[in-house]
Amino acid sequence: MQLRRAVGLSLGLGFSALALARPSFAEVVAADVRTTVLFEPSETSHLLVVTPGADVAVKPVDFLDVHVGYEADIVTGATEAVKSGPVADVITTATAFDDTRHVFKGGFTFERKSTHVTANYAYGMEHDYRSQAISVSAGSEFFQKNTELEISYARGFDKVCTTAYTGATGPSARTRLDSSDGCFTSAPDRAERDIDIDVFQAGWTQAWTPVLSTQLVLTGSLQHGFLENPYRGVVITPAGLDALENQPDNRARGALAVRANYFIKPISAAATVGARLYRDTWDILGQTYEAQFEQYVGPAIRVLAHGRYYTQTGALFWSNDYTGGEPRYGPRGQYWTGDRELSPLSSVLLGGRVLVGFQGNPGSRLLGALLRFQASGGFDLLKTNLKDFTWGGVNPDDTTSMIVSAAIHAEF
Amino acid sequence: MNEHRSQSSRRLSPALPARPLVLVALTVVVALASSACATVRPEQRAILADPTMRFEGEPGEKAAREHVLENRESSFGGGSVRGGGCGCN
Repeated sequence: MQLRRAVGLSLGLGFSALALARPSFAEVVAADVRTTVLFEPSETSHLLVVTPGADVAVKPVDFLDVHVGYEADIVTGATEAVKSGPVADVITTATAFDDTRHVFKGGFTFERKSTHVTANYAYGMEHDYRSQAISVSAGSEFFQKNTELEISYARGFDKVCTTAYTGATGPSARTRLDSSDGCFTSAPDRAERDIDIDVFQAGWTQAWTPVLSTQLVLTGSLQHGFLENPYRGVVITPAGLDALENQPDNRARGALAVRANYFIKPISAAATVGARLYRDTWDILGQTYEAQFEQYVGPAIRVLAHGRYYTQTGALFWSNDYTGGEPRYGPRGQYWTGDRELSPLSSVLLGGRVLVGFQGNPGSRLLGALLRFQASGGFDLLKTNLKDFTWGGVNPDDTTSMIVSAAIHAEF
Repeated sequence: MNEHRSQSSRRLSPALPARPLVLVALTVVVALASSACATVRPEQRAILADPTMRFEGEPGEKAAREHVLENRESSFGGGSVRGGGCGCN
């Protein structure tokens, strides 16, 4: 049912975007329609996320781009609601759920000679979460356009639904949500908690030779508010008593990424390598290494293959078992989490994409209307190795993710 | 558990120690200064403007993959920004 709804939504978005994109007054109109499907098979806690989306951009004058878009996350699956360590008398069971997240977004870009300024707004809603985000970015080119600097800032104002505990309720007495019923209404057993997010980013792109360019990106982020999963409980006593996750209210995060692009002329291919170092105040250290190879197979077809390796340490307060044996005054006594993304893990991603593109021009449009058209399809396989996380002593079996994507881009 | 919470004295660590930050800042300044020496003339930029040389790739596709990865790991940020390709004068 969810899948049928997603396919219907995708087709609807596609036809709407293409219909809206018919040129009547603008110089250039571009439309993007895409769908991504994420599937994680499991005997108990499978997950299916279908993400259709569409964007339309209009250039009424050559220095202004106005764009609007819509995206949905249609989620169906099952997940364990209570995290326990290897405690014999706690049986972990998965609970089925489904939800749809809608995101509406819009913005504009001013572009003059060597400078551009972009501003965007996005509003997201689902049964248990509301989000608003504004972002601004500005970039400029220097030294005969060989150097490009860009800075950006984004601010998120999110709200998450939880049970209606008060400040006087101790963390170990807080209960988790059992459903999203009553969220964002005046129901007495529900409450809204704020999450504030600030993201700062600076990027430097440099062309060194006609076939070699590099990029350095520095990102800083601050999160404040309710950073837990409101549905997840954690067993915190040997008798099997569970409480809502309890994580710090603040998190500062930093990442530094470098990458290089090199074009190999004899085979008409571009090779990219990159690395990223991540650190945050929850004591997580992450390292990412990426490689990508994209080659022309004829003038209209590009084939891409990429690989990615990621590894991280666990959060300072992470434990697979909070029921005893931890330092009495340590962070594992103060905080508890069932989030496996806060545990030590590594992952490998392998994937590829085929893209077919055709380029017209104002005097000779494709099919009499298109300046440019491209269609692509891709597949990624992500395998995660959880080094310490278990559901009641049992290793999760939902650690393989398959991502299938398809996209169409048309310019009129 | 509550007692542990109220009496905790251990603090969470800072994002980045000061010395590596200074090192990163110095590296960036030196690299930026040296970037002025790069002389790729406008007529030599055809390959740099090729879609395969764009760091941001196909933005929609990249954003979808990053959305999945951000929900499967703790790291965040450092994503590609636009740049790397312009054949214009």
